[in-house]
Amino acid sequence: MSVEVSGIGFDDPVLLASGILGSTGASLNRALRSGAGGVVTKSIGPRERTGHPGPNVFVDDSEEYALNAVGLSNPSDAFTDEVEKVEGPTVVSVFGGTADEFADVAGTFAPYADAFELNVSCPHAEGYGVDIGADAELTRDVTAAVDEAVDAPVWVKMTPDVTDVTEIGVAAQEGGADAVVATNTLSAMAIDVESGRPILGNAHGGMSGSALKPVAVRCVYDLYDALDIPIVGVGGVSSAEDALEYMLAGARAVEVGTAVWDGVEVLGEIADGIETYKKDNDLSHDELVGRAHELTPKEDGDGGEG
Amino acid sequence: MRPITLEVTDRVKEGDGIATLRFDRSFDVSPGEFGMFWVHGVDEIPMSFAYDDGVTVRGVGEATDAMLSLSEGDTFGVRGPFGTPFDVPDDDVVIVGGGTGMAPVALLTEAASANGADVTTLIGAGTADELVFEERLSRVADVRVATEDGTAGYEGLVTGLLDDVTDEKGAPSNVGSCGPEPMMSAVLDRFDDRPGDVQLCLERYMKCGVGICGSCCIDDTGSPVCSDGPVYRGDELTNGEFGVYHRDGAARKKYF
Repeated sequence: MSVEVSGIGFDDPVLLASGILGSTGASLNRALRSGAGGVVTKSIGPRERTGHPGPNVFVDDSEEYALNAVGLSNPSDAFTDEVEKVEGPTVVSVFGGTADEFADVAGTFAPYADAFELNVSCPHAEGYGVDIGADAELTRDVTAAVDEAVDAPVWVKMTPDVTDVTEIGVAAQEGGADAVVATNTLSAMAIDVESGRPILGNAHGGMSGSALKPVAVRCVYDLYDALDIPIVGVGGVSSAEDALEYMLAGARAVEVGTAVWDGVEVLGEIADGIETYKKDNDLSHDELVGRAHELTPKEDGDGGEG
Repeated sequence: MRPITLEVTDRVKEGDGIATLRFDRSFDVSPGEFGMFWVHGVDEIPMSFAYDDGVTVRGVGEATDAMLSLSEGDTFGVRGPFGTPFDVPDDDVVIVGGGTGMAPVALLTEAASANGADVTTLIGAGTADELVFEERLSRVADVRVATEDGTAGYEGLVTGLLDDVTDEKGAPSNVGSCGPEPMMSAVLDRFDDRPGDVQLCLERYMKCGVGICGSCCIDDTGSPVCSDGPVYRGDELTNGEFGVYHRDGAARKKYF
């Protein structure tokens, strides 16, 4: 069942996504006990932050999506006390406003991280996240700075809010990324009709959940054609079928976020379902990953770069 | 769920800096369940329901102060009810409450009484002006009060009163508690040979209310208080942070 992504082995290809139940060592261990093959921490930055005023998160009545604007709340360096308790493969998510800040934070957590995930894609914190990850040059610079600062593999988390996600993916790869993660939430807003106000305290937020999945699957599919480095899929995975969609599109592993609101046990259930599918279809993990590309009719002059 | 808009239909002053807001909609609420109350333009905060159509607010910060400033006809939002409530006993129970913990204590007292239980409810406060729900709960339970300054009832901590009541009535089959965590921790200590009989309702910093964000996860189980809790049995809270520390909005530890 074990898979390898960028040289790191995971017991199964289902990881806890960043920003989900990931504020403490104990909560990350709980995800591991529930069947996650690895965990991604909440994004940690150069300074402690309490985040935006609430409402910070809500799940829509349709249950098809959640919106959040937590605002990169984090305890900064004090998180070292938490991450050192984690008893499984640990991807430390970091953010900063500049390449140097990214490199400094990654350096602080180097003793605890099996890999780093660079949050250049949070859509609701000015000066951070997507302000970097929508720009190819900044993405390349940040990735290169972290790659130079630490020995561990560097994963770069993509925003879906760009015209061409492959341009950003290629920039990350050129900067030395060992994997890309696709995607972060989609910039979004909801308005409370009765009061007339945006629901989120920050007005703008990020959309996650099932409604994000077709957008992020398309990103993974396109990145698979464009890149040589592995891809981790994330966005609206709540079942093994969802995870398999990402893998067929080209993801070696998936991250699960919003779906834990039904119970963290979903992590293990998804991992078991992937394994069953591979056995039933007599597919190795390598054969599964990207298989949809082989089965896609290609038009002349299109999609030949993979 | 998206927030629902509520209109204040009544505002009752309960004590010094404490008021109950009743609203124009009734929820199917079990004791210990909470809502994420949205004070428009300010913040969203978790508060236990004190009635199926009301909350009791103590001014402890920007959002609660703003809540206290609302009057009849004003509106605010809520998501919920959320959380895992108390198991309501039907034999005998001593319920110990204090401070902002009185909301779930009131609902538990009424629900246990309606269930046929023999209910003794102990209300603790710093001073007589801060005592809430004494009259309300006296209708359905044997209510005793304790004030630290002796201005009403037993003089001293409510846990001292609990010891007196246990001497008088014998050990209760069930214990429920909600209030300041050092108080709840002292209650649990008195039943450390059978912590599973003690239900405690916790307060933690929350953002999502539905078990996604992790802001309220407690050590060392990692359990999210907003969905697994806020009510836990004492044997679920050993060797962890209960009674020792909590975390703020940046996930920094704050010791009690």
